[in-house]
Amino acid sequence: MSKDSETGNRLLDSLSPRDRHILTPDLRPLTLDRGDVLLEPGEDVVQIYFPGPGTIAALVLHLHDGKSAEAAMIGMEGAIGGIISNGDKPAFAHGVAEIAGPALRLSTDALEDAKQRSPSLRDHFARYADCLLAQVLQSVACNAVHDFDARLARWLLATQDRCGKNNLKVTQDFIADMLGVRRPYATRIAGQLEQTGSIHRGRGTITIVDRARLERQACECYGYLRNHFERLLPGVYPAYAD
Amino acid sequence: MVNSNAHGTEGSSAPSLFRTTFSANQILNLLPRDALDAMAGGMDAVELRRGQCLFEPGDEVTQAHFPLDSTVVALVVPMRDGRTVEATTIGREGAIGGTVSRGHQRAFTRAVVHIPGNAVRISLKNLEAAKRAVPDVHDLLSRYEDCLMAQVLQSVGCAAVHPLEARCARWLLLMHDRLRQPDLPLTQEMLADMFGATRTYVTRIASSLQKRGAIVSRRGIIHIESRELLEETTCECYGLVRQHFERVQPGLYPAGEP
Repeated sequence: MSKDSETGNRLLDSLSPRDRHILTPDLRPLTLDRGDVLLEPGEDVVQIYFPGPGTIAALVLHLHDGKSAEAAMIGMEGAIGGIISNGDKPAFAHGVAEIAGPALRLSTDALEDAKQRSPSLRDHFARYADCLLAQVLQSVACNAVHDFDARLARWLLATQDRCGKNNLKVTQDFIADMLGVRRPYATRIAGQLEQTGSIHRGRGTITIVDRARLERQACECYGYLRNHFERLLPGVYPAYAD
Repeated sequence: MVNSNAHGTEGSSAPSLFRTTFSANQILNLLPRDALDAMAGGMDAVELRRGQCLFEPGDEVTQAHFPLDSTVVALVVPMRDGRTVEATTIGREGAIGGTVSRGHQRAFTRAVVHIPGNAVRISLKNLEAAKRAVPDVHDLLSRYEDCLMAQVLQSVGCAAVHPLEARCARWLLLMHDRLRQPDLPLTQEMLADMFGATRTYVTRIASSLQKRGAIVSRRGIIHIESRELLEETTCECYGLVRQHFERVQPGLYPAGEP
């Protein structure tokens, strides 16, 4: 949140100045720590969180038998909480901060008021809601049919886009849990990727060494979503620059 | 441009839009009369054919379709290898097209009619006007969209983690809920296509379900023999989504066969 007019969240920063001005009085800056709970299943959603640069949140499902799965990853391109539901309904998935960093919080009431006041603001958020739904629709199909190495490559690219860094503070165990596979399997596949030269695994970190190669290794889901974002919200999805 | 396939049959053979029509879709059924009156002028009833595409990826979506009775539409993702994989399935509990995006956005998935039948169609312009004019419309559609999102979110995890047999059972239950009768006009080939699985694998699963008495697979029909057995076979995903529907908007989820 450096400049007066910019929040660091690209969804907010791409609003017209007039529309951003409507929200500004109600936006509260905060710092999210890894593991912070943003949404609890069954509890009414009353806040929306807008991650800042480097911050990543996720909608996570806790399945039976101790398994889990990340249903959506959300960073500075978007927002988590009440985007589809418009707030005041019980959350379905867990909302959690995955990578610590700055964020902004806004009550769902304030956003709904703003949408009533400004058709352009309402349209902007409708576009994002569409992108978020597209993201999860794609993920259903991706998880159903794509091989884990392609899914892993896609996940790493998506994370890097939101982090803005080569070096991702994520462990292989964490990735396994998020992608719903057994940990030894994830480690093996990550090792295979490393051998191709696209990534390097460190202690508690994964470094993207060859982004172009990783993009070729990812499934087409990565590209489809980026294109959709670009079409509906030009410039909002962060273009990772080497 | 709107796909010309999206227009149903016109003329005297087209279904009429009666008051009673609205009870065949859960969203329309829950709307108050003044809301329906506000929307009626911009609505028409259409007949959807099996395999008809309401929109393709990249199409501008200008209309919403509310499936009536046993009409079912799938949102599918065309993959590079030629497979078209199901992302979610929408029947009488919902609406397809522009509900989340508010219209005039490019479609992301392909909407394809799985089970043919009637639907109510309304332009998104009229729907948006109705939402502004009647707050109940906006609220009900928000609740529906929330439930749809829950269904899709759960499917993301389900697809990643759960075995195909449990996922098939889940899908058969969802179809049974929407069709409200046990003879589902589906083939094993359709199931395989939707899940992006091989026919061999699906045949094996269907045999197993049949041996256990959950289904009877006949020519062109999958008959639900025992809902209880399907519910035992499926994962928790079925129940969790249904519970969310009930919690967020009672009466939205199409009730099972009495």
